[in-house]
Amino acid sequence: MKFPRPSPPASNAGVKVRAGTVSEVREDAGVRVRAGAVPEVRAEKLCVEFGVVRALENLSFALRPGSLTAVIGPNGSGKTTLLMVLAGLLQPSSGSIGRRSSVAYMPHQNGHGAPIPLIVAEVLVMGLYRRLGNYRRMSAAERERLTLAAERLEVADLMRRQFSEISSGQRQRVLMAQTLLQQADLVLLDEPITGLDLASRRRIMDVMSAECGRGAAVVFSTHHLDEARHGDQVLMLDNRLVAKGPPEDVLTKENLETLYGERVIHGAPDCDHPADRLLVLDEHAHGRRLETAQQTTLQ
Amino acid sequence: MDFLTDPWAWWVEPFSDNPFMQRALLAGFLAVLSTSVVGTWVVLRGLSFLGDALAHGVLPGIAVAFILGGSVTLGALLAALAMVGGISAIRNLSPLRDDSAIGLLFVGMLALGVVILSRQSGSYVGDLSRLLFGSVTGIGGNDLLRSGITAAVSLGGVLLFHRPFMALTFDETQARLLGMRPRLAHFALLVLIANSIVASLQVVGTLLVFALLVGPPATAWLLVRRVPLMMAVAVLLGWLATYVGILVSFHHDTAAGATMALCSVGLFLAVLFGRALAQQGRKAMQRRGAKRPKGAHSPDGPAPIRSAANESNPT
Ligand SMILES: Nc1ncnc2c1ncn2[C@@H]1O[C@H](COP(=O)(O)OP(=O)(O)OP(=O)(O)O)[C@@H](O)[C@H]1O
Ligand SMILES: [Mg+2]
Repeated sequence: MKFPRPSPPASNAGVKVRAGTVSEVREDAGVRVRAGAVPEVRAEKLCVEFGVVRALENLSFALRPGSLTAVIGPNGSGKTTLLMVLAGLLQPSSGSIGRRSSVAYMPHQNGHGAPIPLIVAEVLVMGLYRRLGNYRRMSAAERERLTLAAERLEVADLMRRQFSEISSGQRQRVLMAQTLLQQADLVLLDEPITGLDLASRRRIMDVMSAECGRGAAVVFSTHHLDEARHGDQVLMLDNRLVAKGPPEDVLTKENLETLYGERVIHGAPDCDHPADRLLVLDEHAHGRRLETAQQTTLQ
Repeated sequence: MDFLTDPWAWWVEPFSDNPFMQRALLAGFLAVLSTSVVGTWVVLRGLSFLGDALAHGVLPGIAVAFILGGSVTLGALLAALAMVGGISAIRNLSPLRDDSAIGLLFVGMLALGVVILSRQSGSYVGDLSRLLFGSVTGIGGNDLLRSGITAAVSLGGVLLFHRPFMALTFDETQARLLGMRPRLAHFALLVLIANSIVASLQVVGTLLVFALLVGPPATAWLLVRRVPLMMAVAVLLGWLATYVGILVSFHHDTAAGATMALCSVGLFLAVLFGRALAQQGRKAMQRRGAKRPKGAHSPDGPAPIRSAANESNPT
């Protein structure tokens, strides 16, 4: 099931979407996106080395405004490194990335177990810092945007809770809402759907495509091939670019075998092909969770 | 037991009768205002060691100012700023963790202070002990003005940098991406710490200033869980400690700075144990509340014994 873009999704099986949310954003986008206003981000021959470890080798790709890019690859393949380089948190050892105007970056699994007294609302307000600066108070419109972002990620009822005390899935959604509020041109999300339940995953996928609709270039890393298929572009990493392009060209048996080959074959009983197995497994899991989700909604 | 039997004479008269006590109290309150709001971030960001090191690291500045006959406040401020700069430099230049950088500078500055002082004859000792342990009772109008200014700087700084400090506490990388300048904010915090330390030198002295910087905010953290509230509660707690400390010192002729520091730490321990007891109590109540429905006919009377008896021989 493909997330339709740029037109709003017609059906959202199993997931309740607040009426109007997505289309509102689209309208918003219509005002904001001027054709050609935001140039595409071009990475040329990016290399990143950590001492002797070559985390990334010779990556070249482009990120168009309004496009969704999925980065996939096994553990240690350089996904996080790539996002950090794109965010400007890490300098590439060689190669170049074009100028990026504004960047939002959502780190994977924020390890904020440290019990600092900070409530969810305060975390969200941080997302407005570029607008508010050090001391300006939120205007009514900004307050509304904050509420809207919280509602879109279903964290509105967590606003007064301590950030350190909510679950990691809830934290991820809060950080996603914070990311939305930044209205950046380049939105980088490190494993935004890892560890989330089906409904939250769908919700985040929706929000990501809405961000694209707004004109942002969205890049997310993931281990979920199913969600990766919703990208306009997939970058397949294994410390180098194994493949890039539209999902149907990249997520092929051959490529997946190169990437996951042995690991999958070992774990899979009687299966013709590792890639099938991988995709089928993913679908199965997806389907099962969908059923469970629907049952729960019915109760 | 005078403070119970004759509360007016114990709690109020020392201040109404003695202008120097009024000045001492005011100076104490201003120092607390400064240290508590800045100290809240020190506690939240886990910079206690840095705060402590800064507090002691001002010694060479004080010593030099002393010998040259200059302003001690200025000397301390310069030494503190030098130390702040040094820590930032080590932080940026070396892979060392912050605590090592701080420790090195801390001991270096302390040693430098002692070396400078050891060259001098013994005539300073009395004056020096005033600086090490404070001299809250010898405060003049000028000192009050200075305290007022430093308190205003602390408050202003904390207000101005509230959002960056918050984000910095949350996640430094994220703060940078959100458009803040975490390095600058961190440096600003260090300067504010230095400022509030210098502000309270005269009240509690370099050796004990830490008690005011960390004591009240740490206590406040046990009680409330919002940053602005923490600051407010810390200020109130700090004021309480100062007030009681000055009075105890007045009535029992103890060292004022040390007594205030002791009150601050004592308050922390009292709240800590009080909280633990309250939690225990609440748990016990819950347990009893959960059991009550079973112990059918146990009204409000001396429940524990009866319900225990009920349980020991179930029908
Ligand atoms: N700070 C670092 N110092 C040294 N090596 C590093 C550092 N960060 C990453 N690496 C190495 O770079 C490679 C890529 O790591 P990266 O974190 O980008 O992988 P990833 O694709 O995000 O993995 P995962 O799926 O587990 O999140 C790994 O081999 C890792 O060991
Ligand atoms: Mg990673």
